[in-house]
Amino acid sequence: MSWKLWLKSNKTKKINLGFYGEVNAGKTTLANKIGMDWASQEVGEVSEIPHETREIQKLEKVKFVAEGTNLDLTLIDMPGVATSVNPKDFIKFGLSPAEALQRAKEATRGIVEAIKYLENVDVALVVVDATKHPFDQVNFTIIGNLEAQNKPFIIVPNKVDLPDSNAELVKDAFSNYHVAPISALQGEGIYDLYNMIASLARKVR
Amino acid sequence: MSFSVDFVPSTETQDLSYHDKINYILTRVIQRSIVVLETSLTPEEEMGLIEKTMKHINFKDFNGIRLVSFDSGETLRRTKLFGRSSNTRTFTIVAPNDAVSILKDDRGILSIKFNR
Repeated sequence: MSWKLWLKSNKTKKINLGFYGEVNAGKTTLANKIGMDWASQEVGEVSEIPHETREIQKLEKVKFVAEGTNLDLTLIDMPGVATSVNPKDFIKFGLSPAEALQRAKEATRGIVEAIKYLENVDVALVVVDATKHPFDQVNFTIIGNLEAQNKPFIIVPNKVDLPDSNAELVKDAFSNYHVAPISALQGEGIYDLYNMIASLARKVR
Repeated sequence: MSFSVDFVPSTETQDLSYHDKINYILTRVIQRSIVVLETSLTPEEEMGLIEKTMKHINFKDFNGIRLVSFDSGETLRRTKLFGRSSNTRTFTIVAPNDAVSILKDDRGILSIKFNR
């Protein structure tokens, strides 16, 4: 390798890494895992109540190295994309009617924000809950838009540590895409995902 | 509460602009119609529909939509052989969220359960 190529290959590249997916797929848990691994910082709070992330949350200057690729990542954790928001879904978790309504209003705004931000993302992680049926329309809508905008992306079946998960079904459903099954909580599969991020980031201009 | 089912031929929407098409669908869904479109929506139209839906949710009588696309048998066969593609669907169903439950299995069978 010539010294010019060597320098180029070791230059740190700035990448906006966006976390997309349906609600409660584990986007924030994954963003926190990456944030802790590479910057000792979390990105956001995790909750079992849907739509915990209602605003875009960022963690900048995450120095990431994998497969000899140096990246300066900005982790961008998006609100979960959904086609409906019902305050009753939050009351089930003990929120008051007023709190539920406020959360629902913020959630609808968050979904719009996540959609609008898509064009600013360099590489996307589409996080899919591996314990659920993968044929959710929202996943296909997100993937279709990433393809239309020529954005590189990885489908990340999450929660593979849970007994009712089926990563193979997700891999089968998305067999012509990059797929990296993981447990964001336990760290299973995370290094394969890091290598895949590095590989796709190298192709970003 | 009653719902109607509107079967919309492709000729009805094919000349509409992006925004007009989304408005056409959403107006009907807000008025309690389950819209069955003969054509598929593009991913951009689907995302635009979701975005516009969020702006119309009033948390009283409209909490959003259910959106599902149906694959033809040929598309489904090719999908199983070569992997799923997001732009090879045939028709699309858009319904008020509280009107129906829609289930789609890996054989491509779409089951719609009407809620009372």
